[in-house]
Amino acid sequence: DSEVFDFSGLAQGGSAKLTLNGTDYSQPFHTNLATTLNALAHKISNGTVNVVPQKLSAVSVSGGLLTLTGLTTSPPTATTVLTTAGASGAASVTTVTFAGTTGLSPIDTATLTLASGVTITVAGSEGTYDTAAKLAAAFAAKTAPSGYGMTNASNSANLVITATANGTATPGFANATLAVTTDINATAQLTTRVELTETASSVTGKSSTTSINRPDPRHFLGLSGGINEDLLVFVTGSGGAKISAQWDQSPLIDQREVWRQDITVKFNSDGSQFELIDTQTDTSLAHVNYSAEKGISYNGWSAELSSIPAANDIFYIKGNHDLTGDNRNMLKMAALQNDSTIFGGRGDFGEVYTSTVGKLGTILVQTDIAREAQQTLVDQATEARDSVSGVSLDEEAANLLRFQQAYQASAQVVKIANTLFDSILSIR
Amino acid sequence: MIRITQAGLFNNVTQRMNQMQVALAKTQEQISTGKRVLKPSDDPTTATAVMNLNTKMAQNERYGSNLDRANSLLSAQDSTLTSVTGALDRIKALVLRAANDTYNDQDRLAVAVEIESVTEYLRQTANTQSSDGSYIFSGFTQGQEPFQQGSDGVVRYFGSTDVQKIEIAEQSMMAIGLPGSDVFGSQVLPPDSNGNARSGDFFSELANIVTALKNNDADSLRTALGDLKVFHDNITIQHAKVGARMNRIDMQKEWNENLDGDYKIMKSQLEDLDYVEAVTRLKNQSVALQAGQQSFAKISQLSLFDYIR
Repeated sequence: DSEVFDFSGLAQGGSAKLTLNGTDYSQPFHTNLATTLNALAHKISNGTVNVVPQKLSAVSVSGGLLTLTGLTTSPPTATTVLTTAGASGAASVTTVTFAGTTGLSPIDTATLTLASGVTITVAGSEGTYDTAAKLAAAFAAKTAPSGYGMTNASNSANLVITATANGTATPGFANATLAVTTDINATAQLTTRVELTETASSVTGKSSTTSINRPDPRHFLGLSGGINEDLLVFVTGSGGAKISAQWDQSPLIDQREVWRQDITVKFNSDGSQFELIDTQTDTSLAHVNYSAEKGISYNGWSAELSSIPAANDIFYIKGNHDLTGDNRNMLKMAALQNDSTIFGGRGDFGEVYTSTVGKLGTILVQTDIAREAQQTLVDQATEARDSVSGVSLDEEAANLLRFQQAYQASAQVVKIANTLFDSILSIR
Repeated sequence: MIRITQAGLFNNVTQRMNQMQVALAKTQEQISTGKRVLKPSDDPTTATAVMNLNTKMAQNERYGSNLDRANSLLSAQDSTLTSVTGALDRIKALVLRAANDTYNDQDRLAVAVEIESVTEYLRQTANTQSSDGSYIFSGFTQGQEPFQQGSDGVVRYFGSTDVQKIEIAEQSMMAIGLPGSDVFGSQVLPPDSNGNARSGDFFSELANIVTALKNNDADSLRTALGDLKVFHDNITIQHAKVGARMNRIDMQKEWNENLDGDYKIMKSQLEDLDYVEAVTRLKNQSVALQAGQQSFAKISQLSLFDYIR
């Protein structure tokens, strides 16, 4: 119950992946092989320990090998009791008592060895053997090896094995041993990258080892840097390869020539289907089911029949080579000027354009009015502001006079005071 | 306003004067272009009406040129058919004389030669081209003569039975040609002596006449007279068609011209400027502007500072 995966081919640019019970664990190459595999082992063991049904007991890395060791889930045990020893010519009977709390899990395989080379196997996936009794019953249900017989009482964990006489000597057995193995449900994948290097005259490939045992290798080609070649040719073995290529301009298709293909439309005997024939070469081009809505169309043109075609009707459709004076299409084009249906019924070209211009004019008028109204608001606000915070020269002039007089008056007071003091101070 | 400030005063006056300038500029622009409506936003409904009128007038112009072209084509057909009728009369006279028993082989042969040359003349006339190079009796098929004589001497029609139409008024089409097959094509001829129905086209009839003359076959010549009458009547009918169309063209032209005049008047009423009103307005606005400017000049100078020593 251990499996070994050989990842020794892992190299720079590659990655290793292990899928265990449907869960992917992958690790791109990092630094060296050992580091990479250790990282992978770490991921796996973190992910799988305690994860039922696969509990790995160990994940180990050695060289380029990753080893998974499986753990059986509380495997059942068996003890044997030799009830009757076999003597020459007589049978011996052994009771194998199975014990174990959880029985055989679906990934386990129980192998009962009776004697050298004589084994009976029960796989956990074959049924539900979650108790010892069921396991005993499972063994009993198996075909006993030649010379042996197995019985099991209902609901009993005892398996009675009888070794019958076989020729001259009874096979006999002293002990039956039970081994339970767990199948590790794992697949591995190794991705490598092949590096190409360009030399002057050829490109050589250098690949890492391709001898991988177990993993399923995927090889990718990585071109590092730019390679000037337009075409790369890969060869195996030895020798040379030469390839040359040419580029021709494809001829222009003149659509008019395509339209000039004369077509014959031939209806079948009940008018439900018609055949398109190239008139010039009498080549049948297509058979088409006819319906009045679909009409007949080919090469970009289409034709409608004004009534139901009769059986075997033939229509010839050809280009208008001769009627160079036919001006009916021109008249139709000129009639577009008065065609009101082009713009969904809004009117003909002139009317739609005129209404667009009219709409624009109306919007402009509205915008103008709005602008004037807004301008008036601005003007009034400015007025109000100037009225409050502006300067009126007359007002300032008047204030100037007032303050000037006040100043003069104050100056006069000082002068008087000065005179008074002088008078007082001059008193001797 | 509570107070008039210097800043307020200047702002106010500037705004007003600007507005007056704008109005004045607009009036000036109207006067120099002669139009009241300069942009759609000046009067959207008028502008759209004017645009519609422009469209109609342009269409009218197109119809007019179409009518002119039709007229030239029809005139060509008219004169051609006149020539054809003239030639046909000559042939009738010749055949009438040749059917007379007093004529002998030689005389009839001479008549045959003349009729052969008239036939060729008629064939060439049937291939007349109009001023733009198209064959007037060819219909849709252009690029080759409609009446060509093969090596077997038979004149065949290579044109089409449809003719071009042109638009001479709104939703009104008129055919501007006659297909050669109508003019010179197969007609129902008087039944023969056994009562069987007969038919034939113009040029084969002439060829038959020549043959009859060469064979001295007076009976056939007498039959031919009856046939020629049928052809003559047909050409008269076709000629009448051309005449009718030309009349229609004249009427349509007159109608279009009247319509054009009406459109012009309507357009002028809508978008043209009334000069009297505009010049008066200009005068008013410039007076107002001048007054505003002068009064501002006066007022803005007033200041108390002038009166403080």
